[in-house]
Amino acid sequence: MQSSSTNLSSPKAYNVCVHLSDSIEKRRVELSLKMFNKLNGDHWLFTTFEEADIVVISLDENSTQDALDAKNNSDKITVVYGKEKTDHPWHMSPGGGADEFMSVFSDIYASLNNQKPSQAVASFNSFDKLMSFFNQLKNKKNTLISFGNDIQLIYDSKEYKVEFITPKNLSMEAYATLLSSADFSVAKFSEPVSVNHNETVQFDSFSFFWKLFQFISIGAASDEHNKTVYKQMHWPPLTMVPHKEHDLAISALLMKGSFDIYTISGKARCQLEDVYRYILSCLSINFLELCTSPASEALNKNQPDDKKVSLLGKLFQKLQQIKKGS
Amino acid sequence: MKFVFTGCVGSGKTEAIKTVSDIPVISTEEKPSDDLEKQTTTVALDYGELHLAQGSKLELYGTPGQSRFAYMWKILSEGASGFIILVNHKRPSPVEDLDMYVENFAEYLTESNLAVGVTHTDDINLMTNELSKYYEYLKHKNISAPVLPIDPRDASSVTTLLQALTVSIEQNL
Repeated sequence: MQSSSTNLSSPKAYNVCVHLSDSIEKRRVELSLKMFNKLNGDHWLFTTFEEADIVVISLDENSTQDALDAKNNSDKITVVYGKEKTDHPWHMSPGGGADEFMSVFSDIYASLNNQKPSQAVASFNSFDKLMSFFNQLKNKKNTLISFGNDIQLIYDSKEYKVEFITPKNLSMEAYATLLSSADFSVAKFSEPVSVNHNETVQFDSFSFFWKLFQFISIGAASDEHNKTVYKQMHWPPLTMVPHKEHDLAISALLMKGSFDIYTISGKARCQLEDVYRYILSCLSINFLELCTSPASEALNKNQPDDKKVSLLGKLFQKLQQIKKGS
Repeated sequence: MKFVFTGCVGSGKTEAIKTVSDIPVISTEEKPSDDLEKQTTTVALDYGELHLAQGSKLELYGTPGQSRFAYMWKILSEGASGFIILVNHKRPSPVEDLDMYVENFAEYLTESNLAVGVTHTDDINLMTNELSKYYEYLKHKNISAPVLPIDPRDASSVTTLLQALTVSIEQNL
């Protein structure tokens, strides 16, 4: 394998091309690799398909000749990305979270450096490593830290208990410390073990982390059961939307550069969209309109002056009416 | 048309919008996670409307005060025609507060789309001399914005500020 800036005997960096036609999926994988770099140093350099040592390809319905060529090309390491499980040693599924993606690339990196597979990813799963990552982010503005399936509600016939099930080995205190360092946090609840719909649910524990979570995203977007359950719990409304809208919404945010997104695990794009949809469901305002477009009748440069004056005149009259009535 | 109210925590943004809005204000108020002397604080936005003649409307957005929600400031500022910065006069350094918001909203401010409301004054009629420090600051920043003492609970007071802003925008069309 040839590389202009790296070679496989070097432990430093390798050229990667995420060769996926779906821009959102492509972005997800690339974000995971960037997070890997933040955790472990700059191991992966993004480059073109031609110059890549490693290519991420899809062998699904939309497989391309490029992908097949890459898989059959001994000069490139291939990573297969797709719904259909293959026997490929480095297969990633679209439903996987950043941890799965990083695990695959950790295996690759370990192999390239004659280490045992999974050696690199093991370090990520340690609490110290995770805290180190968050400390790096602590001073960074507009950081969205997203977790998937972090919290499990357990109902033991008397009360609900909250258990943090991921990241592994984190105590509640440690988790609280972690979250308090974030600008903005999102959690996703897994399904309660059992729920008695007839009981009034008291969540003492929730007051604890309501202080930590500005907003909480709940349930999977397609999960009607969760929707019913959480409605019983009087949680904030969650609008169910098709996945295409998720993609559009997240694309809008990414394009605006409003957030750097770091995913620890889970379907971050769904969670992020849910958070914003919760905010905006209160307003009945189109999500994309608010994020990407000026308000209607804005006094923008494209409007003629007489129209602007007319609008301001109406406003002034309205204000005068309020004043007289007060 | 869209106006954005911003300013420090407790300056009266939510209250001012509630005072003049034609619709029940939609608020995202939660218990604060920081050590504030408030029961609740805005965590995403406040939203109210003024219904104008012939179906037009003025959208009133209130931002969260804390800088950790600054990402919402940018989102809410998109397409805004006017900005109102409310300054709590009883805070230790109100001019520094004003400076923080002017700096953070600088990319959206033009020479005519800003008004400053000074809140938490014991007697708004005695404020003239005290307002000079805000004017001096704005002059130093080359900004010619109206500065008015207001009581966010009083409709007449809030509308006066909005009218000042309206006129300021119109004059510079």
